[in-house]
Amino acid sequence: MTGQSRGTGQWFSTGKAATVFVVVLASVAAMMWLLFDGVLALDFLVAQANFEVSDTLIRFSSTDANARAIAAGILNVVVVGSFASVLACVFAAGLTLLRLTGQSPLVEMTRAFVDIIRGVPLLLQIVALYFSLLALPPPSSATPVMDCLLLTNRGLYLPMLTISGIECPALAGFRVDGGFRISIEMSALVLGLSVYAAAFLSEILRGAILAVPNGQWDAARALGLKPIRTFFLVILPQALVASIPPATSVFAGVYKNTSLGIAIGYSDLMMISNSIITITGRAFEMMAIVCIAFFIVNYSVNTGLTLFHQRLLKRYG
Amino acid sequence: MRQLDVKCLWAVPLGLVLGMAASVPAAAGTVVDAINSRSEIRCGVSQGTPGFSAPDSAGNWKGLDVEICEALAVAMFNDKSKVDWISLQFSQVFPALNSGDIDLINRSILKTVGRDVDMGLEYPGVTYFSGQTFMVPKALNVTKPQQLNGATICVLGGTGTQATLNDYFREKGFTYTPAVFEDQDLMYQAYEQGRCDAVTTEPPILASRRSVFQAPGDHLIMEELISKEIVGPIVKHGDDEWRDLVKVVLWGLVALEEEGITQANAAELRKTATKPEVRRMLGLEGELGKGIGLRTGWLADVAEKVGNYGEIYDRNVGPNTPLGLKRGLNALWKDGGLMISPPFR
Repeated sequence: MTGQSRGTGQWFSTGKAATVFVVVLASVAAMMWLLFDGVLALDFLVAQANFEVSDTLIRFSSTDANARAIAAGILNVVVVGSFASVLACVFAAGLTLLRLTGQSPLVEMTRAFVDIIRGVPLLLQIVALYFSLLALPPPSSATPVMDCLLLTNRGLYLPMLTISGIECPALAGFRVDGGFRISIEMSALVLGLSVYAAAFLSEILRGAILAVPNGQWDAARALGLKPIRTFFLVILPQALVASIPPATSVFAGVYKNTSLGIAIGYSDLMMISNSIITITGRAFEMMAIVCIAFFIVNYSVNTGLTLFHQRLLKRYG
Repeated sequence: MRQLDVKCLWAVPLGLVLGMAASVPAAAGTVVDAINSRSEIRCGVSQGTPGFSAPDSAGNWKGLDVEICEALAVAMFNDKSKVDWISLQFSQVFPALNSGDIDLINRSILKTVGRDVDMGLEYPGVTYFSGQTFMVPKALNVTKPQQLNGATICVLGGTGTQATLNDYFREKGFTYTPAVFEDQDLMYQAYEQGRCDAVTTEPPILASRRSVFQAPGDHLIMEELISKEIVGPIVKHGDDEWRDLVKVVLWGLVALEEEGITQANAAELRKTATKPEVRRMLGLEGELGKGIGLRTGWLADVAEKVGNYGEIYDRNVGPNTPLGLKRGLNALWKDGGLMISPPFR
């Protein structure tokens, strides 16, 4: 980690890399000492979990080990975070374009929307979204949309592509069979996180676009480029490069905020860790694991985006 | 931004050391000393389970679990207001107890061998016996747990309830989709909205929650239990004095009922009692409880200010309350229940 960052120039100075290295070393040493001292123990990781998790992307049952539950939790953080980040980019692009159209009612509405989303705590937004999804009908009385999409208060059942063609969800007894299910907890979390991040991203992008010097527009016009082409070929690439550093912290926030899923019953890393804590009593060890996991995820996101930015700078900068 | 990130990193080893310091309990001073010096018992209650622990419209905590803490306060300080109510989520209670933020947990947490033996907890006594079952909307036309194969079931994460649910379906070879919640209020709200087919826990808690539903009559609590459960306050392992104090107060509440001592007749009996057992309980003879620092007549004060176990039960969860729970297993041993106290001598 540190060796790589030393080679990447201005964003990672040797001093910073050394700091990270010393801190990581000190943390590991502290943990090792506590483990060796018998204050901490990690044997609970291999013990049978004895609890079920509602949303997992890897197969998990109560007879699996706690470590597997933690892995499922980390995977949930990564998937929800990534999914929400991609959606946030799409939403942000839309919001920015609406904002730049110059059409007064559209601009005003977009501005109001962005202000509201940024001004209301994310937790409230996620809970509000969750309760709206809870108001959907139960599977037994849900009417399929276009025969192949079931929106219920148990989850959103989407058509799934299989070898034999498209498989549609269908009601079977208590539950829905077939199709691809996204729980309403996950839907509310992904939607809440992405809209919230999009509001911030669109402002960053708008600022970056407006910050590209007017001379660039003039120069492009002098070369005979039409305004639309100027925007996409000259202005936007420069604005995108400039907006990556501030956007990095927004993306890091998306991953960290997946822990708000606990408020709506989404089985994120925090909820799984709470279950393990109450069953095994290993509060300190679990909190350390959660901290380390979130740090690694965020550090990867930061580093990845920074490297991406470096590459763009080399190419366009 | 990057500068800030790196600076914050110093918090990691620092946090490790501070965290350990906080989670390893200080050796000096017992729980009883701490309670005496602050003249207040820190009682960890639920986030609102009517009948057991919930604030009333005036913001005063009411319920069976609440009155157990009040009885402790009367035993120690002859004043039932000497309690600091600390309302906690399930996932917070054990860390809170271990760190000393609360002196005892009193919020319907099931006793298991693992918790008592391996998790450093002690259960000084029993406040009620129960079992686990399911609540379902009547519209579902389901009356027995065996009919729940394939259902979505709402359950609180990391609880003994979750483990029991899991055992039951594994044993039967059934499948189910768990909808695991962290927050009780949210879970029951989601259940009411149809997020799951059934919600599971002990009947008293289900009855308590159902009593505040929009349409309580639309929901059925199944009679058949899928487990046996023992519920009582929890203290930290390793403090015998405090554990004994909680234990003797719980025994005292049951003994009061066994001897027919009530809030109404306690003051009179304090002057006129002739039966040796009753005289010892009311502090007229002997000094039971002195060994753990209780004053003479503490149980008589508990009887006058709080009442006996039966009175507490009837007032909060009994047949004439919204919960309407029969005594059942919680009747005295001589009435066919399981509640019993050792003799007061």
